[in-house]
Amino acid sequence: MSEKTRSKKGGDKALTANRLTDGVAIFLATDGSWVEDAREARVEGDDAGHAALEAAGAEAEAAGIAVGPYLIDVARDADGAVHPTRNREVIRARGPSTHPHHGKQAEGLSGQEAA
Amino acid sequence: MYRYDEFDATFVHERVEQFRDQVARRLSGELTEEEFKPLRLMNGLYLQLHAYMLRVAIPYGTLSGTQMRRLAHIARTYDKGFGHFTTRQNIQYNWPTLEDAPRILEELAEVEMHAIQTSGNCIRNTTADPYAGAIKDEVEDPRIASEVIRQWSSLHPEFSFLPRKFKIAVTGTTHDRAAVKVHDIGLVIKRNAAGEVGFEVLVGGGQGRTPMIAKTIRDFLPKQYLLSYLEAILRVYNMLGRRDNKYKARIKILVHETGIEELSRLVEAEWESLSRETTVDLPRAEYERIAAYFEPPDLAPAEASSAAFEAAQQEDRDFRHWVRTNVKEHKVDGYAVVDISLKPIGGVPGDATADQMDLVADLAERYSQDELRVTHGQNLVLAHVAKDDLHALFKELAGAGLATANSRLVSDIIACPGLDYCALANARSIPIAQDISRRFDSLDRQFDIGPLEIKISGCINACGHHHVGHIGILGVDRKGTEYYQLTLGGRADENAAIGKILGPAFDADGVVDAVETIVDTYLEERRGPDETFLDAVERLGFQPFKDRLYPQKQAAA
Ligand code: SF4
Repeated sequence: MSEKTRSKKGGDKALTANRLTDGVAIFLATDGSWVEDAREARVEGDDAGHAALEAAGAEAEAAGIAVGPYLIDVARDADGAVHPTRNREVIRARGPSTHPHHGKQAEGLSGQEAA
Repeated sequence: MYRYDEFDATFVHERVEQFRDQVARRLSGELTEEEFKPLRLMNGLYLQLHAYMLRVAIPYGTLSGTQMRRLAHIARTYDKGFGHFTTRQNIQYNWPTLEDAPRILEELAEVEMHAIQTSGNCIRNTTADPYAGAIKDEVEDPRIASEVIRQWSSLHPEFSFLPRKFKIAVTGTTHDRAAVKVHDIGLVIKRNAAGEVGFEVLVGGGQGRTPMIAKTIRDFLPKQYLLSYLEAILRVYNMLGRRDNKYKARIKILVHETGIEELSRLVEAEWESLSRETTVDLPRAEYERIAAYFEPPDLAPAEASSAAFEAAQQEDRDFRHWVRTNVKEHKVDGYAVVDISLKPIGGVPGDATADQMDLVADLAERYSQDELRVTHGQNLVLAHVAKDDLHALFKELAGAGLATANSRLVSDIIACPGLDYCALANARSIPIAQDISRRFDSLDRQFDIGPLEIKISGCINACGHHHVGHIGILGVDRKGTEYYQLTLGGRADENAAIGKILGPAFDADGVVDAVETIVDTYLEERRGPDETFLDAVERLGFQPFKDRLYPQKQAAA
């Protein structure tokens, strides 16, 4: 894990990675699948949950689905939708802020504004 | 232009086939990411925030119309219809898939292009003056030496795993447009007292975490010894470079720690012993064979100025402005060197759409001897345009949003991809460039300000060359918020200097205001329009700028 992808200790976390085939940012969902929309991410708030996420990530990596999985800090908005809190992850979840018609934001995914 | 020989062509095609096999094995699970990553990086394929990114080499920034058209085709077919020209005179695609990567490389190989050595600890694409072969006062076209270096350094077995990446730049004029003093090795082509052509060799320049200006290691190297001398430098670096610490592994640190005199002694000794073994230097005939590819085009000299050209400037104000900023004198009377700005007001610096690339390919074929250049300032150049054609060219460029008159003015900003794309970034660069460009959209105001280079990087790796910006902007992360540190007084020309930090960083909104404050302070304090921004900074020092930027601090002091 690099300095850039390190999340803070504890708190609500989701698991993200890049998809092997096209590099797109993906998130582990509650049903165990990998989705492009961060709002559908499975959130875990304690050490055991975080460890479970990481185990799922290692499995997906071995299965050739995900590349470089890591935990990110997340929060829930008023409607309960999950969103990343760090700027880097907000941009990953949305797409480039300079090209609103590129990336997930163009498909209506992960609607959070970059801070 | 250089054309591949049979060996080059076979090699590049074989390489594509190898990569196709490697990708297939990765997708089938036979290769892990750990095993595959070095292989994809050797073929220019990175993994960034939103997708893979493919960096394609454009040797010394020179392209034919056919090659540019292929780049457009790739942008349209495998990407989202655009490409990004970089400060390494290369192009990056932001959205290719892993599955498509071998096919893209195959399409590139068909037009004699590839992505080899655009990553990794090897000798990267050699960059050169974008006006090579066209500008007055050039001793020799720097692309000849660059091509010689390209052939020597491509897959050089001894230099494929250097302590760190290694970048070389070449200029053929004393006015440096290739930023040779901030490269690992800079070469300045010059003549000695006897009139022979050779190189001043500079070593140890670089940006990144520890920016340094290169030092001269040899004042005059006869041309025929170029490769053996480079080999000697690389050997010494390969042996002594710090492999224990990534941040201390560039040759600049070696120069700094060893001292240029001692390093020079080691290199000369290595060079001596090399010349007793076998030589890598090219026989004269081979150098000349390569040089023949860069023979100047056969331009029929015309009147230095034409009545039609003058009349068009009188009639068309926009054209007149564009000529003033983006058109330079050619060495042949009646011709001009044209900067095509990829910096429209509010645009993304260095981005070009597939349609724009197609148009530029056509224009290069019709107006500029089928040749174009990419600059390290993230613009394009048509190097051999007849003055009589300039107005027609301008109108076609203007129709495609490519005729912004701002070459080297305040809106001609260099910006790296930053946090909008780059996995290493701390902060966004592009939106800051866009906001500054919008703030200074008035051309009258830009003319009044005069030459002013703003350069922005999204992290300390300095791909946006902020250290050598007249105003440099570095994005930093403060507890998850983007902040921007300003430097002043950097420059990348023959008087290269590293900018110095002005004071506390600004947030994203504040930094645009701060840049405007700096510019306004300059306008108020300068002796007159002839005193450039850099001259004024040198005369005034930082205090007047600090007083305006940090008034509370000054009051408290
Ligand atoms: S300077 Fe940093 S943020 Fe910008 S492209 Fe280079 S590595 Fe990425």
